[in-house]
Amino acid sequence: MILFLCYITTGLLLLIRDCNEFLSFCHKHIFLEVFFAMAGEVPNLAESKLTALVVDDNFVNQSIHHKLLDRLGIKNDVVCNGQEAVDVHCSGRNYDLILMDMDMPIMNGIQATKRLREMGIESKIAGVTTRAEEEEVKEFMEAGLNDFQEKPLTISKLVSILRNLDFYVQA
Amino acid sequence: MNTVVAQLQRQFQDYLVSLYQQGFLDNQFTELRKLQDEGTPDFVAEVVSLFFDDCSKLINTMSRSLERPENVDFKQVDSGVHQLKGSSSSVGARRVKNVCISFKECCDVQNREGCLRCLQQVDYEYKMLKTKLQDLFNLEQRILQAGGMIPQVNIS
Repeated sequence: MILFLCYITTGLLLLIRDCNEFLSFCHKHIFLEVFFAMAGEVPNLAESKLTALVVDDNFVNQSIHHKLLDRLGIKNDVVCNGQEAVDVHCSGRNYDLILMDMDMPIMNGIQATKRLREMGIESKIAGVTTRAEEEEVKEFMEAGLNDFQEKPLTISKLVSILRNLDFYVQA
Repeated sequence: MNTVVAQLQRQFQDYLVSLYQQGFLDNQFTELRKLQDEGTPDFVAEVVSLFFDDCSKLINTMSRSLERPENVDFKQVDSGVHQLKGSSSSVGARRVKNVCISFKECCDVQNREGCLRCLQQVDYEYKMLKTKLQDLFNLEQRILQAGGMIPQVNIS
């Protein structure tokens, strides 16, 4: 009887552990309806646990990228150049996703990406730039990017980034 | 009242479609409009306002760089054109973006006269777009004040 109770208790504990792991998995991923993406609708999701950093010197792009992330329920901060991106990480902040522009004053996207990787930052970094020449993209990728998208960013491009970086699971 | 709202909505729709047909706007503007919601009802107006501020500043900077024929800083002009092309592309300002493409070509071959022409053209285009979009936003306000909703316009 005692052995039987121990067995049941162990089983319940394992189940609770698995549930917690499952919930943790859910928190880090966004469940998206393929229907919404295909219908061109903007998925307005419940707030996820993902965080992101927008790194761009252009106020127009800052505003748009911030809003795009907001619409997907991703809390995000905005900085104006690569140096600020490095500084914010030095202050102890960390993000799941970084949207990194290439051309910025003080420290550009390539330099910032290299620096962040040297610091041991393992966040997923997606390069976003208007520059699409093969050599330029290659140099940017080799700096330590996980993904790349050509500007201008749209909801579908951002969803594509999230999909490529395994941040969401299709429902 | 309903007739007034319907008329205004129709006017808005026709005007918006004409802006696409005349090449002032492209699909990226549609993407911007999709992001506007009840929580941020002025999102598009705010972003385009930032864009027009950007245009004004960049055009002034580039104008100064191109002022003296013997001392043109083409690197600075190129940087300004790149910024302007990026912003115009992000808001769907198609004509402005297209002028930037020609502008970049003139920069690349250090053609000062060509750059000056492009500068004049980009100044004209952004001011024209500013007027057009102001008219569009005014129509939006009139619809809302008349108790109507801004129509979703399908641009194919």
